[in-house]
Amino acid sequence: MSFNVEFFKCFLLNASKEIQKSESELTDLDSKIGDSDFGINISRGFRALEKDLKSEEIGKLLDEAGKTIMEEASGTFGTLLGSMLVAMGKVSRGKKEVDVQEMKKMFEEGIKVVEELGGAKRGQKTFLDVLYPFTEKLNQKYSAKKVIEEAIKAAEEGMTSTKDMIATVGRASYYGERSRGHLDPGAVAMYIILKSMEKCI
Amino acid sequence: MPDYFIIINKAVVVLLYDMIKKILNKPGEEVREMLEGLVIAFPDLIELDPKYNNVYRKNKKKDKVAIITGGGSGHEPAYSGYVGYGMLDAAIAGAVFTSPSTMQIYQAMKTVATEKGVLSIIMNYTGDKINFKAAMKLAEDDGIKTDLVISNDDVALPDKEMRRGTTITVLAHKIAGAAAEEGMEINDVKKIAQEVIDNGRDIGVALTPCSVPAAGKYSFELKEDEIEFGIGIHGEPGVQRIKYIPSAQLAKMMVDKLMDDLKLKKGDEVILVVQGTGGTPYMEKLVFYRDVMNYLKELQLKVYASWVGEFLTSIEMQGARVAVLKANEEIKRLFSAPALTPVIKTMPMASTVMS
Repeated sequence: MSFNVEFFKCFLLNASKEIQKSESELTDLDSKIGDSDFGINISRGFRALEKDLKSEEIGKLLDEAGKTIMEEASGTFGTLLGSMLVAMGKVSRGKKEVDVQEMKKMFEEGIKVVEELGGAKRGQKTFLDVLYPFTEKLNQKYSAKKVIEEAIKAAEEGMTSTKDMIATVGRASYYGERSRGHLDPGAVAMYIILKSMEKCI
Repeated sequence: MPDYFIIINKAVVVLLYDMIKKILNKPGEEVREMLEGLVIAFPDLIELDPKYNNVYRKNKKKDKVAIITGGGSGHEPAYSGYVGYGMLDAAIAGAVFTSPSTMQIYQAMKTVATEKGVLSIIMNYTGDKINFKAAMKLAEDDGIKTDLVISNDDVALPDKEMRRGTTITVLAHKIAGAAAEEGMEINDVKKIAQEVIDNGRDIGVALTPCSVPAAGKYSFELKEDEIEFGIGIHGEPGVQRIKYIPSAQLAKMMVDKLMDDLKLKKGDEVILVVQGTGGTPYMEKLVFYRDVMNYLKELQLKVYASWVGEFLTSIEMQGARVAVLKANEEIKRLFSAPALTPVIKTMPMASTVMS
């Protein structure tokens, strides 16, 4: 059971389509606890990435995708997502396919970089609350399809859990207690991105 | 977009300006156009990469630590005005009050990289920190040696971790720039930059708010008889609103705040920066500078050298900032070392710079 370069291309392309479809939903969410430019910004980053997906090697594919997102979506989410993809690419350098354990390692490295750069931890109402449960599910002995389904289910629960959290990092933290009751836009975007893997198995 | 067209009867086009008047062309183009202006003025000292809005020093030296910085625009002459011999190798300009992107910064690091490494000296703002750190990761993957110093010299906020970077950052560029020019290694240049930040403090006040070109509105409201005390550099409100007081009293109040925090005592020697915040007339700046100097004399502090003018501003805000740096022999020597940039031109025997 493994994930090849076509899987990752399909994943990024689908993620781009889904993020663009959700642009106004993300902007609405952001207007409640952010500054409203989130949806437009990240959508621009993904649109630019679509023409980039040419590499036949997973590491290079993710590295290029990450750098394009950082170039085009200059907000914090774009920088962190881009850095995460670059870090995932570093672990999978030269590989044409990875197994579920390697995939888990890639996401763990991605999380490490996001924490280091963003200074956030799990439970602070960020997209880490989606990435952690997703990554934890990447160690089962099921079929690839089942593993991804389970991980996406966990990611969804993680996204929902951000609603009751109070933001203590990033721009949403300025809203303090008032950030409770709203989903974190970054967590929603990350869920949309991860969920788009579903169609690629 | 603040300006828009309404077409009436398909023939009459009315242009509505829902904005504050500025001598600019098109919102969104002001940063590149401004940098083009600067480079036209100083073609021998600096050059512009218009794709990234990065300003580079001409005649780069290969055997020194490269010093770079970056942040949002709107603080002119920071930072592109400090690129050149003895100071910065690159200044990376974001949109007005917006961090530059990771790729802009990464591009600058690749362009100026030397064997001795690239030291970024930036201000304590979330966006700038994330983007510089992300760019350092990319540069390190390319085998470039990098390091980072973050300035938090603003005394307005009590919590040191929260303190913003302000004017002392520019003094750190001058002093670390001189250290790099002398051939010091990256660890030593970093150490001296950190020493400057640890021994320097800044405080600012506003008489008026400022306005971001694309936003078309003022950042806060102040009554005629009010002064905003302890402002940042982005038109954000200060920590305290006070009733109007004359220049001499304001000078005393601001200097006291710095003195307390730095624990300065009689006989200490300082480097002083007194500046307007972008929209302050020279008459007011010089009256205020005089009052600051008089009060420092009264306190029996020695002023080794001073800068008066505009060094780190907030667009058109009317107001003032005072910064003092406690100086030891090494800081004094490096501060007075030669520099040739659009704004700072240091020569032996010239202890005051007026911009």
